[in-house]
Amino acid sequence: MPLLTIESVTKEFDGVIALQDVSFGVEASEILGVIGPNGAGKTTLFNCITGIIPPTRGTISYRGEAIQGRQPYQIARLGIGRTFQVVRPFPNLSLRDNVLVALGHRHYPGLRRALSACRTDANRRIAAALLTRVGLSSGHDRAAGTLPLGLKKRLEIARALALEPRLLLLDEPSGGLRHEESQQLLDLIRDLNREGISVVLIEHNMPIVMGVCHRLVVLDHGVKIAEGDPYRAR
Amino acid sequence: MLSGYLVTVLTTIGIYIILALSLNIITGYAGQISLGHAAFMGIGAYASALLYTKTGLGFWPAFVLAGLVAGLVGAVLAVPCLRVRDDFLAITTMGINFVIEAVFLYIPFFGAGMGIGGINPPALFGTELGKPAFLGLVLLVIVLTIAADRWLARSWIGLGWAAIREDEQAAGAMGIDVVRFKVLAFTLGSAGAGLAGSLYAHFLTFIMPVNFSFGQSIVILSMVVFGGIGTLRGPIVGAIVLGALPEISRPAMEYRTLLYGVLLLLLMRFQPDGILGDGSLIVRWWRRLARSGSNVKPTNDDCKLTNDRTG
Repeated sequence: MPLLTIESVTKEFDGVIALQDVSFGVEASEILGVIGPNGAGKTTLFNCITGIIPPTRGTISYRGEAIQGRQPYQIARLGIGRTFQVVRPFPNLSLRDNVLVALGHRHYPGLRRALSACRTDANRRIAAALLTRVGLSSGHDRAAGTLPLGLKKRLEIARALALEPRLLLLDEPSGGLRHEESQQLLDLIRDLNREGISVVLIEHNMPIVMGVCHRLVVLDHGVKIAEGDPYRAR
Repeated sequence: MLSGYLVTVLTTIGIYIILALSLNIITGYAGQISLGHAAFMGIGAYASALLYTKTGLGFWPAFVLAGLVAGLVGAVLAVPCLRVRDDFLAITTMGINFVIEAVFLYIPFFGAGMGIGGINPPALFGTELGKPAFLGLVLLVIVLTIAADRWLARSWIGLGWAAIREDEQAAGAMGIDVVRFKVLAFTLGSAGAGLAGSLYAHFLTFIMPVNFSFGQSIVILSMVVFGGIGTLRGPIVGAIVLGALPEISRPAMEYRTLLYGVLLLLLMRFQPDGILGDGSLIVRWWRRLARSGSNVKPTNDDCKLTNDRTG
């Protein structure tokens, strides 16, 4: 059974169809690329999966459980982490606090735990390990807004990893990065995948798609027009 | 001993400190602008006054119930506020203030335009608290408010609020239950305002709807913004400075709203973080001073460690 199944998902915005009857699955421990021109509905698809905008029709199931229409926080706590096309770390929070926010999902149930201190030594160590994991080994007290773009993207991944995700949704991880920066980021994505995290990747840069993705889904005008092996989808 | 006048001024400032700190939870920590904080102060004041004058309940239970009632109403009114953001939230909360003031003003049960009188100061062991003792009570409530504030700011709840303030959608995607956290902020902030309102009612012994008008909300918000929104020190210093100003000079009293307006404009232009916010001149200057001071000390490591802990 696939980790994530998308079945006949349609999203309409005031009569404009952003996604039409899109179906595909994400297998456990694969890297799936979602490609297509601007306005093809790729980010809308991510927003439907993560609950930011519920789909108009269709079902989305994660590990056999229907999740469409659930709140974003509920979906995040199931272990679906994401990054944003335009990076969105919490700019005035420190790198550490950015990661701690996502780490907190384990602590919120129950008022007593929600009231406990969040910046304990143990939690700081977990946050430091996650930041180091993505290559941010120092300056954890800095405000996230002061980081250059490439590091903000890494911070977003560290933040998503704090959710202990089984599935990572990465929205254009290489966008706006120099060649070697995006290569390093891809190495990180491959490593995470090898550790068992499934990845869905929205990408424009074809060499990157070819280099990293095991399988591709091609969207155009909200419709899935192809699916399969990267070399054949081309 | 302090003169009676000074005690009165200090008590008023003290009540403003509680109001500013409670608004800071909603607007500073959780980032939800509220232009209706005085309404919740009013709910606390009226709840306390009615319980005291109509049911014969003593001050202490009335004080606690005033906080609970204001918190409960805050939780209920947070629900329509969840549907709006930013400017629209400001207008919604402003509307809530007008409606609640109108309820006090037009419904005879609440004393209508006459307000409610005959609210005695609290008594302890059968003796009524004098003004200095009442000031002591206000200070005690301030200390408890600060302690609660510190606790919340260090907890997962405080961090969740900060994330919502920064980016609501990203906070949701990181597992934060945005709705529950916002309602919690409105509930706790309103409860704090309710407690302050109860103190206010038993201090003045007489309350009228105009005490809890939109103008009062603006005064409280000015204090928070002036001092430095989102910090603990900011609202306290803002309440002290803006609360003392009208007492120091008569013209400042008469042109109070004008003065606050001009101050806010100047702050937005030159010190958008408030005089003691994290990005303000004074705080940056203080940090630089602290850093240059620490360099000459032999225990540089200690300093690094403590800096680290405040992060």
